Parts: sequence; C-alpha cells; structure tokens
Amino acid sequence: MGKLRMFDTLFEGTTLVIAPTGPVSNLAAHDMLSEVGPLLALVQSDECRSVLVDMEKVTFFGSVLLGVLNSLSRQIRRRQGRFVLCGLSQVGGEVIHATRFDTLWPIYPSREEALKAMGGE
Amino acid sequence: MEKGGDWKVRYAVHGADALEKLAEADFDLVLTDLVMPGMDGLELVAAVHGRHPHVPVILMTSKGSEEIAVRALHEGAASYVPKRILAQNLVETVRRVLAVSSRHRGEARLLGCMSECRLTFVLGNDVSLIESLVVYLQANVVQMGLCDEAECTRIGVALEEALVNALYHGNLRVGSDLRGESDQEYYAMIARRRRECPFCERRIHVTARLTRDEGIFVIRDQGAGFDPSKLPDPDDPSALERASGRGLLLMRAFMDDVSYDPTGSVVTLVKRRKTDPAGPAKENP
Repeated sequence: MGKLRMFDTLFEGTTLVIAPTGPVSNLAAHDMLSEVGPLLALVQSDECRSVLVDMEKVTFFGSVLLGVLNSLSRQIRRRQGRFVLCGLSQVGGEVIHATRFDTLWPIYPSREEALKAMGGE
Repeated sequence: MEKGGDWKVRYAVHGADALEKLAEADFDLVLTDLVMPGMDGLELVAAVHGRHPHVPVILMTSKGSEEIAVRALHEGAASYVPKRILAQNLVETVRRVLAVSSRHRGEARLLGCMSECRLTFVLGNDVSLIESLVVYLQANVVQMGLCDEAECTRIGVALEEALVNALYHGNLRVGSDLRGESDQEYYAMIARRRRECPFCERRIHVTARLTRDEGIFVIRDQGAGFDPSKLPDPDDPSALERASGRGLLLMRAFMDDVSYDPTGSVVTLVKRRKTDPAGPAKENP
C-alpha cells in the first residue's frame, strides 16, 4: 500500500487501519489535506468495511485532525461501516471527550484490543 | 583531574553507584567511561540527564566510538573526550563545561525567583510563527512552575486553537461553514487571503501575563468580530458533526476560563496553577 507522509495505512482483513505518524498541529492542515483524498479513497474501496484509527503516536491534536476523523467517520458510516479509535494519549482522550466525539466513536486502549473487539462483533 | 584543578573528586565503581552518590550529595559534574559493568556510559548519561538535568556529564570514549559519542550528545552529554588525548584535553574540557554549567545554574536560579513575566507579540499572518509562539509560551509557563507536562500540552492545544481562530476566522474572515462544505476550498481561501488586502495587513496582538499562580493570555485580532452567543450549543447532539465551534470547546476544556469581549475580536484565556495538596510547588533550582 502506498505510504502517505502523515498517515500509515494497512488493511487487517476488511478493516482499514490508519495511524497518524506523529503529533498533528492545526498548522499542518495544508499538508494533511493533501492526504485526506487518498485516505477517503481507501475508505471507499470495496475491501473496506470498517475503519480503525490508531492514535498511538499522536501525543496531541486539535480541531483540524478532528475534522479529518469526522470526514472519515461519515464516509464509512454512509456505507454502514464502523469507525473506531484506539491508542489515545491522556490529552488526546480529553480532546475527544471535550468535543463529545466519544459519544459517537468506540474507543479502545490498543490496536490489538480494538481489532479483537471489531472481529468479535 | 586531582592534579589539574582545585576540584574535589569522588569515585563511583559503576553507573548505579554513581547515581546513588548523585542522590546523596550535590555534584558539579560527572566524568564517566563508556564501558562499565552493568549500566554503560550512554545509559548513565540518559539517567543523569533525566534525574539531575543541571549536572553535566562528560564521556570518555575509545578509538572507533565516534558514533556513540554523537549518541551520547543526543542523550544529553555535555561533551566527550577521546581517551587517546585524555591527558592533553581532559582538564580543559572539564573547565569549559563547568564554566558553561555554572552560568546555566545561575540563570536557572535567577529565573526561579521571577515572580511575574509579561510578554507582548504582534504577529502577521505567518502560520509558522503561531507554532513558534505556542512553543515559546509553553516554555515560559513551565518556567513559571504553573503546570506539569500534560497540562502544558493542554495549554498548547488551547492557545493554538485561539490563535488559529484569530487568524483564519478573525483576520482572514474565512468561516468554518465553508470547511463543512469543502475543506479544499476553505484552505484555498485562507491561502489566497493571506496575500490579499485588507486581510494581509491585519495583525494578531498577543499578550501573556504569567505569575506563579496563573497565566492570562489575551489574543486580539483585527477582523470584524463575531457574536459569541451565536456559537452552536455544544450540548446539542446535532452540533457534534458540524465543523464550527470545536476549537472553542477545546479552549474551554483545557483552560480555566475563556471569555470574549462583546465584539468577539478579543479572547482571554486563563490557566491557574493547580494547588498541590502536598504543599506549595517546588521552586526551580
């Protein structure tokens, strides 16, 4: 799979795993946007049934990455797929909670636990 | 070392012994071999740097260990001396490192006595300066002993949201509604307006007043302002997926107080030091 600069991607079965490669400042928005198109294309591909975003390497982020996550989430939910997060840092968890996205997206501590839960449902 | 200067030298048999001695008394400098039983010199450099950041470490290296010397510098070593020129260079290196660390200690002690810091900046629309300003303010907040690392990150997120709002929505007048429709068009308009008059002439005024008890950040843009009461209700479930208002939510979540003036062009963010139940915060060395 082609490697993007700000996101690593791979398929685990029919789950697309997306992992930001580091902290995501709002000021990196221009760089990030050039990678949203390829990410959305992967979400729209036939083999993709669900999306897991692994935030392990993201110590902090703001509203811009939230916007990208929201776009990916809307895209997969339009296809009746699931959108799940894992590996949030303490502050990352607080960002998700403050913006109420924890009411929308299931969150797991690690990629392994998320994949296990997604496979078992 | 004992002949070369007026220093008192104490010896440790290995890295763990050195760390024990450092915990027991104040030392001005650590000189260590790279190869030792148990913990090696690199591990000792990292441990000393983490536990006693004000104590410089000089590493003695053998022939062919230049790469390790570079790694040691990355780990926080102050310098290194190749063993083949130890006799000629060691004393001079120790003197030089001690002189530098003495200045740093003096500065750290002085800054530990600082009771108030006021900073004022006037920024154009250079986005990279916003990032630098956030990092600079975070460093000053830490210097004033206002918060720990996690809290510092929260402050950084809140300040970045406020500054980006001031630039994008305030000075450049690009609304979040556009982002909901097309991210590409949203950022294209930002890029365009950064070069166009009157947007390109507008400035962001930032003041920070930091004390040992609180940080007050005032960010003023030169746009037309907005009505803060018309922001979406964050408790409204339908607002969850809208593009606007998330930055303000984060500012409110991570600061103790966030308020706008009636014009909507000035936002004031306040962060107070959490009271430690164990007692007052320790001053910097």
